[in-house]
Amino acid sequence: MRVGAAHRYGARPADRDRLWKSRVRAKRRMVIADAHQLWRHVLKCLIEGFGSYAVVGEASDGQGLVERVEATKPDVILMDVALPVLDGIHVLRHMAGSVPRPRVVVLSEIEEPEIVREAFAAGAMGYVSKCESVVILRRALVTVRRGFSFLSPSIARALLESLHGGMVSRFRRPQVPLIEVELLRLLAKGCSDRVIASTLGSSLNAVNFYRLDVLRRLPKTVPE
Amino acid sequence: MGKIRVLLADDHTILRQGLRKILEADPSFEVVGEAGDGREAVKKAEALKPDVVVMDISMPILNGVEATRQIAKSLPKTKILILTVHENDQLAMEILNAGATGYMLKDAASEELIAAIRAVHRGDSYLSPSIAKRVIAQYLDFARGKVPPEEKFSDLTAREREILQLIAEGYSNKEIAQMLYISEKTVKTHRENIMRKLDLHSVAELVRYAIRRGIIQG
Repeated sequence: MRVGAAHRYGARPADRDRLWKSRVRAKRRMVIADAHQLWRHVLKCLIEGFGSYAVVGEASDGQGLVERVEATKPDVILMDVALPVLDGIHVLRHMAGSVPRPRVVVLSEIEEPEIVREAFAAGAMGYVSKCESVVILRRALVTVRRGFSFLSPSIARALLESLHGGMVSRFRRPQVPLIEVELLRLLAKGCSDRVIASTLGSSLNAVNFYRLDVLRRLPKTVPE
Repeated sequence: MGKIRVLLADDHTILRQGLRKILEADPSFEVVGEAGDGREAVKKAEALKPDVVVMDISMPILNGVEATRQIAKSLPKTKILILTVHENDQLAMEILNAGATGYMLKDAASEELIAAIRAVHRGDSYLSPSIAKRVIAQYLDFARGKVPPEEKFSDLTAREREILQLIAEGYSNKEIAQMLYISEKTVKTHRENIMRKLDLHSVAELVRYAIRRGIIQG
């Protein structure tokens, strides 16, 4: 066993060192933004505990987030949309043109469908309610890493309700193909992409397409 | 000396789970339970008799103010530390009056939370600096004889305050009756008394009042 380990990490200290460095580099680099220090600290502890992320920057407001992102070029951003100075939606729009583009997961207590829609329209790939558990947050990070979008169950439910009757008086009821209603229903239950694909009899790519299409169809403006 | 037994009450599960991890990294703490709303906090506090309850204010079903009042009444030895985003001095005074001995803001470091739990456990009080400033200002006003205007809210009984929150959250008489194990007719009577005491005439007015008072979130 020791022989195997020595083989794997290289016999010479220099090789071991190089391999170790590449493994550290292999961790996904993350910036965290939340107005509250306790939240930032808690998230850092939880996420570093996952083992595959290194938190390379923290910000307490939108302006700080833009600066940290420019300075550290992270792979992934975990952010609240309710940020002081410059709100999260504006930060997302500001970053829209940056290359390479970091994957963004929003973690917020705001569950209004119109905010969720704006976040996705501005480039977010995942949206998780602060009421969810760590398991869901982790699943969101894994899902966006694979290039898919993620909605936590209560967010998906809020979107579903805004599609069906719940807000009919406020919005023109959108025309939604049945398969997308079914997709939202499955998302609301917290099903994985694989389960959704097999339930709907579609491919993973199709699931991703329908999900984006549903988000595109959600109402764009809210009359006051 | 034994471990400090802590109950965490906050509707944000991720925060609860993270705080548990941070507290349990310190051998002097044991997190004995978690609650996601005020009613669950009261139930778990009565069952687990923790040394300290770390409590959020904005929670569904029963908010932190009423949960604090109920726990302080039934468990005088349990200390309550409020952990919130609200920098509202009226709310802070109210919850300290209800029996909390600590009030700290979520914009604090986790080391400060640990110090605050230790302080309230010893029997001391802990106030975040920005809140302490406001509490002292209010105390000075009080000492100089400037008494704040009488609030109609204090005319409400504990049960009426509880029902006020549930009405404002959109529950029907029937649902409230089921939650509180009372008859629908009793809920209706409570509702009428609340409206009369607060001089409100519609549910819309009641919701506005509840938001202004910080009973629910706008």
